[in-house]
Amino acid sequence: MTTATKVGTITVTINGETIGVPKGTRIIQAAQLLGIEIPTFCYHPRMRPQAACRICTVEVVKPMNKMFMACATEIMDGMEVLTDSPRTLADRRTNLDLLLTQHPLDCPVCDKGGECKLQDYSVKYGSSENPFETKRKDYPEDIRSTVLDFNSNRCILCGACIQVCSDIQQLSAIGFSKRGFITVVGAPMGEPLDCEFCGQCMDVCPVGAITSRFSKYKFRPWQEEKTQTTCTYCGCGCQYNLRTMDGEVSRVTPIEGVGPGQGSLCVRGHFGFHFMEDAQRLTKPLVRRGDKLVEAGWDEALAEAAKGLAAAKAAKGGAGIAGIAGGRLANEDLYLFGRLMRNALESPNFDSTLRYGYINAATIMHKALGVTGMMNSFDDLRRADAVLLVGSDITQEAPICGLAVKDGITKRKMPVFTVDSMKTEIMKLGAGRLVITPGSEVAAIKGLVKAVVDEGLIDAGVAAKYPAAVAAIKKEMAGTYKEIETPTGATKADLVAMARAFANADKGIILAGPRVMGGLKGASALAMLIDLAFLTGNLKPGAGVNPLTGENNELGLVLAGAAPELLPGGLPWSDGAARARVEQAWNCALPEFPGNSLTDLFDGMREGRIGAAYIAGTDPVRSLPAELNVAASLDALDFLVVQDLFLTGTALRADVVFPAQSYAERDGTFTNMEGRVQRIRQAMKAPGKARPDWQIFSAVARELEVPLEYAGTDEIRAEAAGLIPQFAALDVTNAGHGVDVTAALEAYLAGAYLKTMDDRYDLPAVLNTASPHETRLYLADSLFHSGQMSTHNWGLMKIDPADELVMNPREARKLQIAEGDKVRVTSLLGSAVVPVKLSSHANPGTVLFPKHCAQSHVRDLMGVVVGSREEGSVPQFRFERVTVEKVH
Amino acid sequence: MADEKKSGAALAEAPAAAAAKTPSVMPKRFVPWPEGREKPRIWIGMGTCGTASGAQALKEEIAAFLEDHKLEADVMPTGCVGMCHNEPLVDIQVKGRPRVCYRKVSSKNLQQILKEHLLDGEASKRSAFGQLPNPDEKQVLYEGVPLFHDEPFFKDQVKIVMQRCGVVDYYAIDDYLATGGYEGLRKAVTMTSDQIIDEVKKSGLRGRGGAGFPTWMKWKFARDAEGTPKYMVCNADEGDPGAFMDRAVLEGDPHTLLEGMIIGAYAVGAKYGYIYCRAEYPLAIKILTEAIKQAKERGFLGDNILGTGFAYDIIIKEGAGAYVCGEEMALLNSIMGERGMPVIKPPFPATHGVWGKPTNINNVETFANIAEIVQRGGDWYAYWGSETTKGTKTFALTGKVKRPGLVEVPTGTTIRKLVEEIGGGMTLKKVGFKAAQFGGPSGGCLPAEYMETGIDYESLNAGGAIMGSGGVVVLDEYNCMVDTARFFMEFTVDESCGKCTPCRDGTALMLQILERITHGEGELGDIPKLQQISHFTKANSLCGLGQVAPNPVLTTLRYFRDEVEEHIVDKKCRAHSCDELIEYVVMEDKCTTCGLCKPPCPTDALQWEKKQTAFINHETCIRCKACVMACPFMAIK
Repeated sequence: MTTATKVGTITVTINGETIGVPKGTRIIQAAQLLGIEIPTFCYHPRMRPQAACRICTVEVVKPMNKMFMACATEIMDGMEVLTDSPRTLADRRTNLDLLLTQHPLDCPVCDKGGECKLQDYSVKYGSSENPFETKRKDYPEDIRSTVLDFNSNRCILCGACIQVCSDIQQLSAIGFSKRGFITVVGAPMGEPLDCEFCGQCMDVCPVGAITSRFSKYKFRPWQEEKTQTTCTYCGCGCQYNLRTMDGEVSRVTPIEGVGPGQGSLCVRGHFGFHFMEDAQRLTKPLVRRGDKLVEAGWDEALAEAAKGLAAAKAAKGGAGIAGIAGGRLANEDLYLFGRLMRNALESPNFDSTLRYGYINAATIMHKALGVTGMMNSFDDLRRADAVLLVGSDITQEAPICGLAVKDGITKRKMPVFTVDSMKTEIMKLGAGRLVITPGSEVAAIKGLVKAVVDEGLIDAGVAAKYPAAVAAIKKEMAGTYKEIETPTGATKADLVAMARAFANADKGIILAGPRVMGGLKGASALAMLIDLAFLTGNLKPGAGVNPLTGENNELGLVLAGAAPELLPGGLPWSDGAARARVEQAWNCALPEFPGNSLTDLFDGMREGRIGAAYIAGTDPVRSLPAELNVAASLDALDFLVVQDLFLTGTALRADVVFPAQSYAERDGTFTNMEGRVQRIRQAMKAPGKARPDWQIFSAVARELEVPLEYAGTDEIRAEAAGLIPQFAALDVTNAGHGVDVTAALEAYLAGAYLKTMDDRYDLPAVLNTASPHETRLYLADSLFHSGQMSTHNWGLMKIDPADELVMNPREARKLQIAEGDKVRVTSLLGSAVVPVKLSSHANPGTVLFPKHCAQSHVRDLMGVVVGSREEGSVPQFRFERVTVEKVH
Repeated sequence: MADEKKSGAALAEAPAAAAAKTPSVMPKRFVPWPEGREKPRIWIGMGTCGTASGAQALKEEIAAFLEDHKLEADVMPTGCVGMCHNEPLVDIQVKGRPRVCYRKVSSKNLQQILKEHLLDGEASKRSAFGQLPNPDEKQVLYEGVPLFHDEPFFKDQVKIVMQRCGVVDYYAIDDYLATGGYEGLRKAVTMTSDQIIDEVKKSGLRGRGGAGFPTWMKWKFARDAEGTPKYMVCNADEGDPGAFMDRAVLEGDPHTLLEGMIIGAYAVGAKYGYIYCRAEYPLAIKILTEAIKQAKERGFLGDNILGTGFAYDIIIKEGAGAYVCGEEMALLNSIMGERGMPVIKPPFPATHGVWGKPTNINNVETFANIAEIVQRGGDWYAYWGSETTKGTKTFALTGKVKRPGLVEVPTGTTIRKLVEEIGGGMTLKKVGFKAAQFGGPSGGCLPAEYMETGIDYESLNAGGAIMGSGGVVVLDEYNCMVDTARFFMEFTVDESCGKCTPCRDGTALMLQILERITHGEGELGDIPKLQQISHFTKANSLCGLGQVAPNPVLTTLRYFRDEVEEHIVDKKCRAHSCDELIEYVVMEDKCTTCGLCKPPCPTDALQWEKKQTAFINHETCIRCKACVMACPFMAIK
């Protein structure tokens, strides 16, 4: 049967079926189009072919008769290929026979059994009797690493693991050692593997040579149930299958080609699946009886909560109640929480973890470009001509977004420029870098804008089209480079070189990390980056400015309007028409003025203006430093309701504690940083009587006699979509090629752009100049942890216990401090004793401490500076000046 | 494809054109006697081979002799002339007389040679191998000393690649210049890239690394490839066991290689070059380093070559001992600091080579032909050799021949001529020729019926062997063919990089089967298994190493199947080479019936009763040789 389908420019005939394909197509790709299976071990669609395993051998009859490897051979016009000729089948069988001759055949105890390619192909293409015989390999299993075990006896040396580590993860943590028949895969020099533990080597392994210690012997693939869901750790929003066996999580497996990560996962997503089953999970509601929190039934707890909230409302009005939401709640929870606060409790005081910095991204991106979230998708990043990354350790904070950048670097030698206060992994791979003084991001960005202006790098089209805007910014750049060089430590030459290289790229993408938005003048800093993109002609499809998120559903917070200055849909409170739409949809009246922001709320609690609070999905006692007096503020409240997975520091102070369900136990959606709304699905049963957050909000509203009743999350989302159009469609990214920001930009250029120009380019004072301490302490993000959830994973805690201060090795030597030594860190606010870890990630003069760690109270050493209202009222506490001394 | 066909047609036309021309003259190089010089000149063969056979001690003795007799002479090292069987060699020349080559020089005859030659003014006839009169100078011949070039070992050789090896001082660029060196380059820089490539095309030169790809075509691909800078790389990672052709050139005549590379770089437009030389050739690296230094000083290398503005620089990169790094993609990886593993082609090095740039890679011997081709013209070169393979080929002739050594002959020379005339026939008169092994671990054994075959790429391929780098091992009846195949397979298993399944696991399994057969544990079913794995490995391996690795096995099965079957069925090794297959018998005529052999036998296989000849039961004998050792009359064999 011959079916000629014209798709491209050349044709190939496989097993008698003809197909047209574009030039450069390989045999395996054409076969896939025709639905013809060709077996592969080492081939991986996202990596360049290695042609090492030779199992994909096919017989080419035209233009010459020879065996070719389907994975690597590009099609010549008129080629004829047989994938099932006797010669092909014989060679394939011999290949399998050779592999099986030494393979241990320990399938009954191999985790891969049931989904092993060697097993499957042996059944399909192998012979039932292996004619060959040899001594089987007998290496001891390498079980020295924390997570990944290497069984060299099972290994068929296809090299896929090594390639994924070098090409996709770009770590080259594993490689071949020895050669020929006795080649083995492992970490260099026979050391135990100590890497980022993304686990992708295990994912691509076609056999059971690399297995996870966390899942070993705990599952048989055919007995597992798999549920596709969205990762809950960071804003990348990776899709994976959460696999359970007998109701317990057995492992997490990636889904090739699906979601933002296209099948890549990081260590948190891959191995951080233990917190749901942690013994410390809340299982029953708690109510306060004197000094103690005691277990109660739902009815009792709900009634008590409603009573307390109603009392506060009666005493101090709606504005006497505060609501604080965390960015880990689902979209539906957030929408409903907002409605509960603003509609049922009539309070304008609804704030969230957006206040830690992303609020600035939400307001500025909307004001200047009319965009919520990122302008570009991860795919755009893979295709960009240049990337400028400011204030983000992207491979730690948003690892999969980092992989998209790395992908551009490997495949297209994409230049990546980094501006940061610590030496990050991506810096090493990038084309240019500025290592600046901590906290001087604003100055560095100004320096780049100045270089673009001074060096005549302004895009010609932009200069011609918007002369007034360009003239205004030129005027602003009159100062000297000195005012930039002093605070940042970067030189004029460096700034100019970077600006020139970035401006010369056609499609340049700017990524702004938490240290941009969460800094002292976060809103201005982001606005400056927009100016930079504007001047270099990068506000166009495929290029643009992109704020990176920290928590997984920060964009959901924006879309739900979880900040006093925001409305559902991420629109500003000042938008009267939008406010009217909300009033109509909710059938209520909204207050005219926005409520208080987070720090004001805490002040209000202590001052008696706020009588009650409802905190869900976040633990401000743990995440904010002591100087903000969070604990005292909460203690001053008449009534506090907390809703969480664990009995947090905040929950300990509550009058009613509701046990919530984790993402794995319920349905709903998260919005990732690109703006993709993606489903989470119930994969397991919740512990005890925990309920999904939305049901708790709904029940509280019922008790308050303002019924907010829904049958499920889909119904909530359907209602919310009336106000938040982004919720209408699932799994699409609003970012990407189609974003045209021209209209919003022109409005911005005529208004706020000019008005805020002077303030924008006023550099903030250098942090804490009054402090006598010299060393700069910086709270850094960790790849392995993010906070409550990650630290309740015994697995992740085993990989990285991480309650350690990171010091530069050379500087530590000067102070005679060795790895593991205890040091006292002292700031103006006090001191803490912590162990030390040496790493060149920390620059000389800087020490790093993981942001998520609460145990050793280093966070309480941080002085807080709260930004002005224009700068988002963000409490800035990531930098502090300290002295580090050895404890003897 | 079209190009290849055209080139085939062009090659076919060549002989007719060549026949019409006058025969080319075989180049013979002589170091001219420097004007006004009185002191005698002494050359000592101090390549790796000469040094290994004691040349260093000779050098010291010569110095002592000169001092004792208050004589002055220039003592210079020179490379390998190819006469392994006559090492060490010392050449002496005095003014007005031809240079005389002395063979097998040792402290026993050195004093006499020096005395007769330097003091008495006569050649020492007993040790003289031959004299080399320079036709350009008036020289009085020595009586009774044969002419060097008429000796049977050299008579049929045509030296193009090795013309200066063993003739010039390898540290002296002046010797090279005095013998026509860098003339090719001087001519090349007046030519266009097209003209040079055309000349190479006319010469019919094909890659001497073993695969025989037309050199001009490779150069053209690299020249036409987009991207700068381009690289011209020399593969000097000679790793075949028993092959040392490249070493002879690297050590004996480094400038020939450099000149070839520079001309190639000029034609291709390359700016940088690497010589990837195995670290096991320390002397070659030392000599090359010196040669590169001198070439730069004289303006043959560097930023402004011969004042033309053409820039080319060469770096020596030492290999780390992996045979597979002789494969071009593995070699490139190794240069770039990666693990020396082959990578799938395409893209070819011509477009994506070192550091992703267009790169041309040729073997040492290929480059060594270039200067002569450019200097004398492609037609001159094409006169030599067979129809499909032009020019000459150096062979490392080893094994059971009387005169092993390095020989350079026109392609098309028969195996008989190589073995019987140049090689001087078999070592042992009564033990006949069995096979000639061509191409080392990638080649195969050709039996006696191929004696009259002219050696070129095509004829060897047809026989199942390959030209390879040019190793020839002559085997006689005492060589077991199964064991020979096993030896080469052992080498391949050891050197397989391990990347692709067929080469890694296929060769390992073949080795195990061959080992089983040589141990007498083979089964008849092993032969089809060997064939199956061989064909699979040949067709499916990633790089050349695996694709040719089964050749030794396949030729053994093709030509010596009966010997393999004998090992399996009769458990017999006719060459008496496989230990486990030797049957010990008691020779009745020698046995004194003493019985001393009985007690040591651990298995009671040896049966003896008083006054009776002992008898060995082959079924229980474990071939421990205890009885052989015990017999005082050597009656057990």
